[in-house]
Amino acid sequence: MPREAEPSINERAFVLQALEENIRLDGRALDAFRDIDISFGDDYGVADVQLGKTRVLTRISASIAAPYPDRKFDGVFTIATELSPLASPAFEVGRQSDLETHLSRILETTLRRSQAISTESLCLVAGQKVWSLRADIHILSHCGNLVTAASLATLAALRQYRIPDTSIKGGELTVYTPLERDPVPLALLHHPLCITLNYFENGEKMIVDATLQEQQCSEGEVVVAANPQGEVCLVQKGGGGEVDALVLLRAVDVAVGKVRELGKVVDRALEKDSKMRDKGGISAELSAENER
Amino acid sequence: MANVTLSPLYRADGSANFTSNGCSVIAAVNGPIEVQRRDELPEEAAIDVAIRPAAGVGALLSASIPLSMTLTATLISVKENGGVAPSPSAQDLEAATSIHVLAFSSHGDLLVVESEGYFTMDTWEKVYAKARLICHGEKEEDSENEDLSMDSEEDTKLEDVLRDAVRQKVAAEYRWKQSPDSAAT
Repeated sequence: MPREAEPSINERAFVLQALEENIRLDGRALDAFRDIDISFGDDYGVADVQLGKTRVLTRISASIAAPYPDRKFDGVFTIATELSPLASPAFEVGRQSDLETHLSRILETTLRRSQAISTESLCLVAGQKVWSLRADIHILSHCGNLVTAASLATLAALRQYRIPDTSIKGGELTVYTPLERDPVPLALLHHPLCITLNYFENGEKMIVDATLQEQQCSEGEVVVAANPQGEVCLVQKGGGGEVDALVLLRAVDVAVGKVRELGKVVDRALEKDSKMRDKGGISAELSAENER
Repeated sequence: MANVTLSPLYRADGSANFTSNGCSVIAAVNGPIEVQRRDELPEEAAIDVAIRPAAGVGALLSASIPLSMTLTATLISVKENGGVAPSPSAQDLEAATSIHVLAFSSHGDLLVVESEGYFTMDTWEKVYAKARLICHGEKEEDSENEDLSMDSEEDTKLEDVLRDAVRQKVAAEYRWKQSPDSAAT
């Protein structure tokens, strides 16, 4: 079974000593992100996020399904993450790794449990037909901080996705093709994102957006999910060295600031994409929205 | 039209991105790595192929794995009136009477044929000629009808697309080898 190569003792000492002097190997500040590039596909609901050399692609798709018998008014939203050998030779096909479980659990809590996507809005005919929404997360390149990259890609894809319009007349459900009626955006109640903070020196030093090497040298990590309004959706610290409660509070503070920063990046990318799709300003004419 | 990028991924040993007609495929190759016990053959290499959405072309070239040849493949559908349509869309496929997948080696030999639907031998010959033209370029008896080879100028041959992508990558990787004099010219 292949394994990720560990950094050598020299490499580790080098990274740690540099961090002691507040220097990161790529010259970033301790709380700076790598370059972020968000691009969208030709179809709705495909977002490709590059965070430095880490690359994640999310695809949203929807189909009509029967709801769970105990949740008749709720649509279905599933998140599927798969770490393929595309991302790193250490990943195997068909074997679920711990990292994969960790990743999908965090995203599930961030997006579903925080009610970011309202599953009730996906209900079509109560107890019979609901939208089954699926987010397929493809990790293409694993160079550290997968959690943030995956959450960025998924949020951007969800915000850009347009679901087919439907109508119900006399109990009969009609799903319209994009030619008949413009597809509609999903009902997202808020836009949460995840930030990973890796800590060193017994939690005294925190860095944002660690590369794979920094991640391997760190004492542990804290994942914080929050929305740009400053509401925290999740704080997770799985394993690693112990940290002071106050340090954790500080981490949450830093993370909320970073979420705001990233939220703006997503906003800008979406704006650029909608401008590109809206050739000749057709959408303003077709839109039924009015200024209040 | 068809577009190839080599090594778009950082962690895989070799990778390629192939885009054509709105479809995009990304492929990666890792090796040599430890083989799974059940696939192990003491004197031979084991190749494990995992397909997620679709198949791709060209990744082996960027992993510097010695190959005895390269290969290209294409999909062709036959319309009801007997017309041959290369790179069919989803609608074309639904309306087609038969569909064919053909793969050619870089020597122009036919490697794989998979045909589905109802067709005559004549139709298949037409499909074969078209596929060969797309993948390999020249027709078998290319000196015979020059107007046909003129036609094919518009179609980019897949093999050439592949060759071009590799040439560009090698040129970029070996730019240090270029002497300042030749770089100036």
